[in-house]
Amino acid sequence: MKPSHTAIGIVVLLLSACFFAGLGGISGESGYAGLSPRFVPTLVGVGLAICGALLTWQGVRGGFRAMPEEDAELPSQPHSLRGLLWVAAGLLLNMALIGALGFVLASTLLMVCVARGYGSRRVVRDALIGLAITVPMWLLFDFLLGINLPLLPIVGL
Amino acid sequence: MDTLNQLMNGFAVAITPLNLMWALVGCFLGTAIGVLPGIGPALTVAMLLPLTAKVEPTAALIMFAGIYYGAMYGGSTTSILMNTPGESSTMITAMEGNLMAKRGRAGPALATAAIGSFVAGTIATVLLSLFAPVAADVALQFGPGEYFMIMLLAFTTVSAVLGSSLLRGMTSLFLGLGIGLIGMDSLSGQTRYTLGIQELYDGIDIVVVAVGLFAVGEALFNAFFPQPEGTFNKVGQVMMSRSDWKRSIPAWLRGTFIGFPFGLIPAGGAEIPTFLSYASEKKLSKHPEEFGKGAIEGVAGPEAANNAAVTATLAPLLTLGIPTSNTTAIMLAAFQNYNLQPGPMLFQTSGDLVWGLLASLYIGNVMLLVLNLPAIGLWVRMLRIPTPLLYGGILIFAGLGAYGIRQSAFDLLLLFLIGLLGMAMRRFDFPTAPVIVGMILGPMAEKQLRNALSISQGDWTMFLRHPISASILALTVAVVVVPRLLRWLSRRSAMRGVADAAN
Repeated sequence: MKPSHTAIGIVVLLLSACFFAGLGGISGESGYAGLSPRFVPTLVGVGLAICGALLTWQGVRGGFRAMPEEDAELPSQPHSLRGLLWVAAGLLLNMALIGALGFVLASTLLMVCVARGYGSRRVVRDALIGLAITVPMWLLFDFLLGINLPLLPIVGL
Repeated sequence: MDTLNQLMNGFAVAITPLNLMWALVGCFLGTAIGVLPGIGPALTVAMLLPLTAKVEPTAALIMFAGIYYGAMYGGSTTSILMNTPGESSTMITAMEGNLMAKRGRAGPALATAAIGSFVAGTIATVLLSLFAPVAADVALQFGPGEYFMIMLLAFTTVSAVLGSSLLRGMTSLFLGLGIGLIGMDSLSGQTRYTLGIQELYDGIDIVVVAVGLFAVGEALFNAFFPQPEGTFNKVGQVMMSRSDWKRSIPAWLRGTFIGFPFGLIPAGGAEIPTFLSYASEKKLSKHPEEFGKGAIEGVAGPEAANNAAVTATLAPLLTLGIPTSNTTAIMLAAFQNYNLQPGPMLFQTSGDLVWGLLASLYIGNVMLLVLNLPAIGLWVRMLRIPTPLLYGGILIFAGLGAYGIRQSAFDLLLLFLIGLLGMAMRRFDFPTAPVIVGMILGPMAEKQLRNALSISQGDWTMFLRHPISASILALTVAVVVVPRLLRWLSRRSAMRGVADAAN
């Protein structure tokens, strides 16, 4: 029994259940082909159910087959939850703030968070390098390609 | 002669100064981003896709050809110096080339990869110009049933051959098919699995999925499992010695002729020919003992095979509309942006564009060799960027790629969620390519299946009665069954051998 592998199998089974649950919301005639818009979703649901069942079974019986060698060593390798959280926070902040702060500032913030997640402590340097990437990109999009990325929407720019 | 005439017209299109400039810009950007560790051609093309939104179709595709080639050259440079292949087809180059670099032979390794790519790319482009129109004529004989069978073959080979486990490959494929269902059904106009979210009515953009799975997934994974600082290798002597040339030239040619046919078949992919080329070089070499320690043939052959195969994958893309690699899948998305449907008719409706693209492939090849041989030293310096800034930069570009599509923060949320999925898939060794293939080909396959069955009035036996579709079906079954049967037989005979020895 390998809990993580078993859990993945169960997640795939749940996903399959979601596809079946959504079937009711799809209407449509089957037409000359005898296939309605529900046919492929059913197929996907069945496919995921079979894969999920087999993955769960492999998980219970000692883990997935034919895994690469590095897999066995990964759990014992040093890992950094803080690093992961910083990178995730950067991505989510970028999403939340891009509408208000615009591409240049939100992406610079992303750069600072990601660099922090990878162990950098030099916030000012990271921010300057972020600006050095995003400002030319913004100029390129705005003037050369005519795609208008907002610069600072919150004050109407 | 007709083909040659059209190709000359193509050159006339590609050689206009403006289009030459787009080719150069494409080559440069492609190399610059492809050289970043872990970023393959597919991701590079995906990231630069929004850049072409305001460029007319011919110029955009010419730029793409440049990016495509540039990303491959850049990718092989990184593979050799840092052993970080951006995609599975450069794995062999990374393996043997990095061993050469560790022995202080990075220069010849980079040179044989660059020149080998050039030789293979040139030969493959000539073959492509000769065979693509013929393939288009053949493709015109295909009906929806045949197309459906080809897609079934692509699904099967991609999930059975890529990755180490058929079960995990199939899981990835069904996941991709499921993602592809989201949005409007092209035949009935029904929305499916949109959960009432308006942003999902048009479906999830392939760029968001590709960038999320590859770049964001990789960035999250490496933040969670910090990699030890890579040791940088000296480039040293760049020139190849006389014996390097003598050993490389036959390997380049063999690699090319192994790679090209694999790219042509609509279910090819570039990984298999690189393995085959490595194996045959090892068998034919006068120095088999060097393999596994850094043999130049082991870089030259697979790199040429890879390049010939990826060039040939343009044939199924242009003539059948079937992407057989991640990169061509994203190129297909670009075609669709311009309301161009690749397929047999493309040569008739947009002949200028196709021949212009083929001609610019020749030009891109030359341009890259000129650009890259002297620039190797510069690229090496780019690799010295510290990891924190490198991944920060990668994610800025990834976010820009996703946000640039329609300037919606919702796409950035999807990017993050798909990134988490990519991280989990990387952690538990689920191949990502089948997700992309399922997502792109799924809706197309569904359409062909329903069209085919509409023509036959719901009679499923039509797939068996038409000779072409029946033979493709047989091939599909063989792809899954034969290797497993062979493995089972050899294991059985090995076990019997052990039993005999014990008696």
